[in-house]
Amino acid sequence: MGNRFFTSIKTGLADIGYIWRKEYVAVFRDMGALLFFFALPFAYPLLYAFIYNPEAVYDVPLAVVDNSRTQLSREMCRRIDASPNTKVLSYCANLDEAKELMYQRDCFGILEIPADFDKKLARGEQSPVVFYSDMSLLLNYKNFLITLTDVSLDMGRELQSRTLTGATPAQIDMVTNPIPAFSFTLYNPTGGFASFVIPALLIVIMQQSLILGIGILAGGFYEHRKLRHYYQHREKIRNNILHLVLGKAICYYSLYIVTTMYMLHIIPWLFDYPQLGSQWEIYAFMAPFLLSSIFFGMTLSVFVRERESVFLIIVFTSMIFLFISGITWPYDRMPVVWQVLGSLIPSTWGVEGFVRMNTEGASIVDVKGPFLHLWGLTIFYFITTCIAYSYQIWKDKQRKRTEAVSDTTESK
Amino acid sequence: MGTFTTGPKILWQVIVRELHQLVSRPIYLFSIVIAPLISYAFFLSLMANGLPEELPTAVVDLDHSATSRNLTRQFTTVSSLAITTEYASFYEARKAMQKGEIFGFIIIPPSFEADIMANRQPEVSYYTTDAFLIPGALEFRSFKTTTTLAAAAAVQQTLLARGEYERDILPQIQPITVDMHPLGNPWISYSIYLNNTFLPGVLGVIILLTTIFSIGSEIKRATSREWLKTADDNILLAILGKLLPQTLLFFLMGALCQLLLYGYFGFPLQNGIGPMLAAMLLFVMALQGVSIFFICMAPSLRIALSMGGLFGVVSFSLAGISFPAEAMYPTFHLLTDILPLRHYFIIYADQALNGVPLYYSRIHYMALFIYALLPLPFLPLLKRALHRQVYVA
Repeated sequence: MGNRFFTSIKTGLADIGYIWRKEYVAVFRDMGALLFFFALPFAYPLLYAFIYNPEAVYDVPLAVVDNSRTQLSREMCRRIDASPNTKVLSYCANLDEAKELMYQRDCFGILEIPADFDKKLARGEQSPVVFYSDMSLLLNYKNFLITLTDVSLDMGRELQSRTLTGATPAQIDMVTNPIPAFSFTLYNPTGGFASFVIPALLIVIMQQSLILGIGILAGGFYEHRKLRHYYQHREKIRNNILHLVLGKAICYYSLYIVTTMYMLHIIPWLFDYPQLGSQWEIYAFMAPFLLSSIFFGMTLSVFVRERESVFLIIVFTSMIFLFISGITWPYDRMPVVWQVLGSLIPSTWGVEGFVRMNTEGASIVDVKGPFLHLWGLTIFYFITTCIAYSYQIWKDKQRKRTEAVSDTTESK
Repeated sequence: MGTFTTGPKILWQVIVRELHQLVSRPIYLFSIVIAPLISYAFFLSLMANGLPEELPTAVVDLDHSATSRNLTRQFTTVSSLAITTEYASFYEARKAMQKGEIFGFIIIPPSFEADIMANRQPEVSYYTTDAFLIPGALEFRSFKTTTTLAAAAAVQQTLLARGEYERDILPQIQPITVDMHPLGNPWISYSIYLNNTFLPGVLGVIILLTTIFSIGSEIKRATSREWLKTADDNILLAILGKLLPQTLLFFLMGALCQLLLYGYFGFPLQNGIGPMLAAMLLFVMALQGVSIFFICMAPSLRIALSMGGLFGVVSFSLAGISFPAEAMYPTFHLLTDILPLRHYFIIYADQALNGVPLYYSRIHYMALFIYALLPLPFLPLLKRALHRQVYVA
């Protein structure tokens, strides 16, 4: 009894090993698969890193229409120009001239200082300045908003202190700023765009390259009617669907060990992105992510009837997967439909977990939720993969049988 | 060139042949109709609110006085924040942030009330996470506004107590104000900001891949010679006949996108729909031009599709529609200018958002048009490949 049990395990492992080896051969003979498994994960992170490497936006140009032309209005322009966020491109004679600059896209905002700017301040009235901002890019608008708020508050404070004649600087500070507030931007102190988006992109690229690679292999298999290799000529060992699925998955998993280290360790280190988490814990977290992505890809691959159609089916989903992960729009502020669909995509939990660990320094215990979700998805997609493969094999056998029947009838 | 009388007839034959192919393979239905529809539905419903509201936020109140509770209440009134929890220490709050329970928190120091009363300037600090940029920025803005207002309220109390008139107080607290005009998008809606170019971007990826796929498939399925024969061995007629039905379909999908954006959702459209529809038509043709160019250069379906995919996906980053092109390295500026999405983006910003006279967008319309003509000199390369009819896996 015990002996038979061990023999069956031995056959099973041998079978898995056999398929694993076969799959290596298939992968390394297929230029398309190699492109997706190796070239894509290697090149895309570098490309994105170079594009976003400047991280923050500095010196957004604006035009000034200074109708006041006083010491105070010039002081305001000087301070705006001095801010790292913005720069004064030109001093225009009138609004039309400034508009012309904006039409040419030479500047993205216009500051108009009214003629009575100085007079109003002297009279002790509130004195507004007008700002027109182009809204095609919110990062430019953000820079304008921050600079203008800071400059107007600072100058206001100084004006206010002038009225307090005879007060000591400490007293002035006390009166003008009774509750000083300090802001701390955690985990991405410069508010850098690359530090924010690249970690999420890495995870999505990893998942998409896996799906594409698995898809192109499966498409080739289907196209060349090689499905029978799944169940023929393997009489010595058992034709078990579990062995087939596991053998293939182990092959893909092993291919992605180096890729994972490159993408999740070397790339953030090379470009100096936030890297607070323990690397070993990140790798532990990646295990269910890779497995669920592999099984997700294997399940999707039954829809691929032709090698190249995988491009048409998968590539456009990359943007959707990136957004559904909640990196830009908070996950729990999405419509419920997308939350449900998003929870079925491995990258949603992968991005959440990786960003929390890598960027925010969470431990694997803190990302227990995403971690367990990924294991859940692994099991779910493992089952769907088994069903999909069994169905495909059954269908293929069926087709063989009808072809065989038609052959015999024709020969008669 | 076909003769004048037979030219249109041959073209019609190729069009009919292409229409048969389009309806006979489900993959075309998926990529031309279903994939764009999925993308429209996703992006438009995702950001339907314009801005995420009620972001979970925490307060660490170490003072527990009437004044500190009053400050906490001021935070609860801000629409973008929702004070969900109160933590006992900085450590707890930071842990909650790492777990993703909150996007920011504020710390009110012990003896906050007493310090205010005694003019000792108690320091309030707020922490936001920029690992998630949009929620982080919104939290930052809300915290900054509220703390500034709270400080102003305190000054106001002092001034009132000194017997100043209420009308004189505001100019003292904030002598200079900024009258901000966010042109075209006063709601600072992310939906307006992103969807206007993201949806055409996704459509662009689909156009690139579908066009390359449909031409490459002819070689792969060994039907390219027959295709050329239908076109009387005229490569120009062959390409035109093949792509015109797709141009029409993709333009209709693009027009549907604009109908949703400017009609149903009422996004800003300053200069009317005409300039935008024209831009969409040219955008579709430009991408088809780029696709033909790729397949001329690399008649291997896989390589050409990879190039098309790369071009389409990288357009999102390189076109400067989220991260400004002006802020990228100068090396990338040249690359930015060769992307059709970049020109579509500027036309949108000019014509729909800002209402700039058409004259200023002329170069970008021209650029898109040139893209449509780009593959013309390379067509002989494609013709040779179509005759050879060799498929490289």
